[in-house]
Amino acid sequence: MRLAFSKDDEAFRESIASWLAENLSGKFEKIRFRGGPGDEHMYFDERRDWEYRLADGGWTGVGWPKEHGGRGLSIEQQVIYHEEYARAGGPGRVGHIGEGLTGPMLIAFGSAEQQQRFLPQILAGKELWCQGYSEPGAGSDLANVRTKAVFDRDSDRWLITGQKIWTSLAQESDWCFVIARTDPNSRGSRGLGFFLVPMDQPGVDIRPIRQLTGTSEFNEVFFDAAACDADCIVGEPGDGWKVAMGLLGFERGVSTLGQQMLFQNEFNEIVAIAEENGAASDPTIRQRIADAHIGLRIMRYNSMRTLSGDVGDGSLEKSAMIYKLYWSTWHRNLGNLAMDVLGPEAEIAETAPYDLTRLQSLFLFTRADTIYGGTNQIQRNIIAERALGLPREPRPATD
Amino acid sequence: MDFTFTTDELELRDGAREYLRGRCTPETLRGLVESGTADLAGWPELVEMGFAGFLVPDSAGGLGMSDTAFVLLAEEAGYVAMPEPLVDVAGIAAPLLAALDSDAAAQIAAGAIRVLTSHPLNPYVNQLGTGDQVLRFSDDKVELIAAADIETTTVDSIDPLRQLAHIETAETAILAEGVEAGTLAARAALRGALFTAGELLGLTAAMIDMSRAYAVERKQFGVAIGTFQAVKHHLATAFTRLEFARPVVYRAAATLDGDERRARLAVAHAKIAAADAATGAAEAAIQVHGGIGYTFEADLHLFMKRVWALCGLWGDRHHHMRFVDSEILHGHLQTGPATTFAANGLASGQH
Repeated sequence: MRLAFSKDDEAFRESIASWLAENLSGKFEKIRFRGGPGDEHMYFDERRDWEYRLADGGWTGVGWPKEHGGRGLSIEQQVIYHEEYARAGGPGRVGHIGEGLTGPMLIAFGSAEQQQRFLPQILAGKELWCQGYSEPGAGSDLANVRTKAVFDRDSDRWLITGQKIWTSLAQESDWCFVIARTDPNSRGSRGLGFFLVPMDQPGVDIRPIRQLTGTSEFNEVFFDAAACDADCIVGEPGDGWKVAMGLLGFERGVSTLGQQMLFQNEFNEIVAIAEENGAASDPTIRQRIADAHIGLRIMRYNSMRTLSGDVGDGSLEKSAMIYKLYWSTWHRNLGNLAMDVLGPEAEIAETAPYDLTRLQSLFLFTRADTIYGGTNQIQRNIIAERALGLPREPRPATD
Repeated sequence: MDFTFTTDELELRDGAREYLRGRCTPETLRGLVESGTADLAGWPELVEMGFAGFLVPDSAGGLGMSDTAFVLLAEEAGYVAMPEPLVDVAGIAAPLLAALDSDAAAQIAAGAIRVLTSHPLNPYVNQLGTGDQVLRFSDDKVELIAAADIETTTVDSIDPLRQLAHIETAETAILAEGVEAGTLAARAALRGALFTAGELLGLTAAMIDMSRAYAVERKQFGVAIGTFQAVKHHLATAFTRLEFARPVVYRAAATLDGDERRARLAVAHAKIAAADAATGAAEAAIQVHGGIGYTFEADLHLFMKRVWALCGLWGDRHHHMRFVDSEILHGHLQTGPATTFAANGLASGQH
């Protein structure tokens, strides 16, 4: 065990920190600390420009292998990159789905042609991606996908028909990766395909969902015989579930460390308010602040351990499994703490109509943390069944 | 010892329930949110139902009901997330003005005026309409502010159905000063916290009912999601908290007219128990609803945001907890068999 960064790593820290200080200024000043979860609808155009700026500086795809155009950074340097990005107030990335999910998925499962077609565009910040997994009837039961993909021999294209939900950045995206049923007689996780579907076409209709925050980050996306070329399926028909699950694994990568730096920023803001308004003199608030700090450190150590690599006993996979449950619960409690620190002022919105303060948005958005990307209940089932080997819960409709 | 309600009280509650659930539906509430108003313009109806004069004596044209019965009414108002300021006008201002022999109590009961409140614990006035008066409490005086004299700035609440205003300047008539004013302000805070606890019980019950209905209707893995223990247990826990909070609130209501410290302690406990039940139920309800519970279109958020707002009103959790812990640690509060129904919970010889 060696819990320190090398001299090279520290030199790297200096280079990314100074690049950010130099570039995240001027017209980008106003998007510092903006556009993260709960705030993704804000300053899109500026954040799009910022994506180009990052690409020009070679700061996209830093963890991708060099042969695919990435920077091929070591785990340590990726950690440093995400830490410094969050510390500088780097805005929520409009390209994060392409960089964090589509790219690694194509590198793992895509054909050489697909990699050549899509990866450079993601790295350049030119093509943005969104995710088409959940459906109204397929939430926790994700395998219950009803969206259909039919191959049309006349046009030599796949035609996608169905409805997806909770798709963030759908209006802004050029492409959507979609799981759809290729075998109409199949059920559950069999008979699915994984498609790369262009969003700018008549068969795609996007309707924003108004959230309880009053804003709309998520959308419903309706596909009505939306077309994608024959070579826009990843793997074979029937491989969809394997690719979809493989992709979810990428969500637990190095970016969790950046997420924790955002948490640290929120935590710091809450502590500052507690000190200013006197809430910090309340013993129960003090203890909850200490608890929140401890939870943040625990997450950090767990992530570092996960990223350090497997020692061959399967413990790595288990430590990744527990992460979503832990951070979502911790973050929801942080939202509660923020409101309790504000006291009666927690009720007062910033300005009419319904413009919430950052901490109010935090409180509300953290209600969703324990739901999206696998609810806490589903996470516990996964931990119990896969990490502990308990019998599977009866699932009548699927195999 | 009798923890039950009288037939009269229960009949009044049932009448209120039927009326409110018919009149103040989630569709009505959503309509108000969309139109940007929180005023159902239904106050005359509430007056006609006897709600405005619920705590005003018969002799002044009211129903002369008890604080305990008003808790039941507040629960029903909470269950439908009623936007009107029932607790302010009928629960706090009316009985206080009646106790001061002010004509205003009879006017409230008759629907001629509405009197809202502003208090150091609760400085913003909710639902201040044209023609409304405000009873303003401060540490050393209680003032009645006439409608025409009020200048306000509006403040936005996170609850789209609460419309808040801050009173900037006003000509006032002083009702009480000095020690008497302090006593009245404390009394208003007790009633405010107690009846808000009642509203929170109602909101909690509503969120549990909505979530139960959703857990039965929503299917995943081919069955209703309520089939799964993980979902069942959320609702069972929320329901248990609610039912354990109810007697705490009822007991506080029955204690209100007795010894002041004992009442203060009981009300502190009631507000904490009801707020904990409500925040726990709000969290469980969103979790059971899943993504749909996070949308503006679903009814749930209106209830959850009301809970959020009410938890901070008339003293938040920490405010009341501080009183409870100081009574235990420094106030010589005795517990045990001989003190269960003691006049003030203090052991003999320590009065």
